Amino acid sequence: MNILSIDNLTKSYGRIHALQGLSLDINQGQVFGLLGPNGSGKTTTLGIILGIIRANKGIYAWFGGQYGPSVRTRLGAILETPNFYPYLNADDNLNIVRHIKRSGERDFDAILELVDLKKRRKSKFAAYSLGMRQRLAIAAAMVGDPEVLILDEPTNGLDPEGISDVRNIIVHIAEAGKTIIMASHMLDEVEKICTHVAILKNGQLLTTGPVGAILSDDSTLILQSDNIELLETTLGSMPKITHLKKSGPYLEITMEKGYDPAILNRDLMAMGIALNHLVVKKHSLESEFLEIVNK
Amino acid sequence: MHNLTLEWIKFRKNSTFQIICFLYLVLLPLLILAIRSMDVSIPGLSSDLLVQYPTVWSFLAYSGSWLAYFLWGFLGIYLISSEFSQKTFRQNIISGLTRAQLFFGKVQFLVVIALLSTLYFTIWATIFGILNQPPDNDYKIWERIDMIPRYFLMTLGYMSLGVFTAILIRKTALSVFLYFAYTLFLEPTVRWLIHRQIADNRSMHFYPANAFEDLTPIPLGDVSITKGLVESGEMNFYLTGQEAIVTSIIYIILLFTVSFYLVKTRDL
Repeated sequence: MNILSIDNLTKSYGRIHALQGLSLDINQGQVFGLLGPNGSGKTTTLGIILGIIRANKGIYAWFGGQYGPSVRTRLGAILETPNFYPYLNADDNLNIVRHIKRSGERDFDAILELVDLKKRRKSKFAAYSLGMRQRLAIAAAMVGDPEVLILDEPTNGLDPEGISDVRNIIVHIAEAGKTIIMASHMLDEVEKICTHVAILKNGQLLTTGPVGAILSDDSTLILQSDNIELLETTLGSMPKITHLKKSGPYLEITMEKGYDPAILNRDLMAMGIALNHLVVKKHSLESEFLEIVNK
Repeated sequence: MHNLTLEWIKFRKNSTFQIICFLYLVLLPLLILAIRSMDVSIPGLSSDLLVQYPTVWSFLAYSGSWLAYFLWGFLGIYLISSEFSQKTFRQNIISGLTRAQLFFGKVQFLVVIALLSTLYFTIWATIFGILNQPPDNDYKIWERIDMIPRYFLMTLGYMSLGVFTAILIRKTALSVFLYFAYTLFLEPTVRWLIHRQIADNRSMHFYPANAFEDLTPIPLGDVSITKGLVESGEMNFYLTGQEAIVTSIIYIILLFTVSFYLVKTRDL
């Protein structure tokens, strides 16, 4: 089932083109990562689909447009910073969200338990640390058991413990089968959590698809032998080695698809070179991301 | 009712909101008591007269208009600008409110406060009138009863000006500055220095802040020393009651309409 369809969204702030004809489709159950460097249009995209920023051009439709203007009551979202009434406590703030969503929840025990704020539920929001604020924002996004969660940089500004807490919460929610749309700089986090990604740069979509399809099949091999010069010369003359780079005492190579590390090892042995180090390094989303945005 | 309840949930524990309401509740009767206790020795005018029917209606309305101008005008600004500064406006939209629900919830909340404020004014005018009426005098309770709807419109007028300023500017301090700068300096300057030079006629009175002010003017026509001058037209620097009512209604609708247009079309 199609959850969100975005068609040709365009937004400019004066001469700055924040979005240039973005089109995307997100389906039910996907954990969709929106990636891109600062100023790539991630938050603008989320702002438009959440109704707080007006697009200059283009359209979007949630759930095929079947719920009309009240559709956002079916979504839970954090956009940029956690925004709450500072003079109210967690319960009062969540009650406002409950009232807006017309949800029938009697209390917020389960949600506050999930984000570990049960003990501080009666403290005013103004007295919360950044990590607690972020956790309350996640709790607010969960009010009314929304079908889709939208999280904009959910670990932004948190200390390592806070990042770990929030990441665990998101993993927990994702495991429950919710559709999640997440904009993040934390690429290892996206790689761990997301099933699909879209990469934006300067308001344009560079690529989109399942994480597995974005990550190339090419592997990098780290090699070393007693005679590093001979190894380098030999590898340089092999046509199936597509890339060769010296990295300290090691050589980093990439090979043509289908050329197996075991076959390479056997071929080198046949040429009288014994390897004393061979490590296969899979490409990370981060390295793919950097390669795509720097093209 | 849903949006009205939402506003109440949002602001009932807000200390600024509580202080504004408390000040109004305390200052309205105190203002009258303070003036009542003053020794007025002008022939044809006594402080007793100000709290007797029917003058008590217009006098309390005039006194209350200062409180409405400062307190309810500021509340109109604060209810909007605080939501912008806390970014809770946008969070409300993200949580599922439409822009129309958000805006009309605010308007409903302010209308209810204006109604309650008018009810409070009516209660005190009644109390002062009954307590201070000379025993041999006929009760002229209903003679200036038009002050009740005029008081409501005046309150809503200042609120609408505050709401418009806050939606336009978004920052509390700057909005408050503009609200007072406009009503105290800008509009009087335009009216007296510019308008009068170009077109010297009564149209100079038909400006928004002046129209709201003229809904509850100084009760010159109600006290004997100035009554003659007002009736003969020699002290003719106010809009008539009907003019003030119609002009204010038009401005209130206009200010709320433009405010809604801004909320509807701008990024939050």
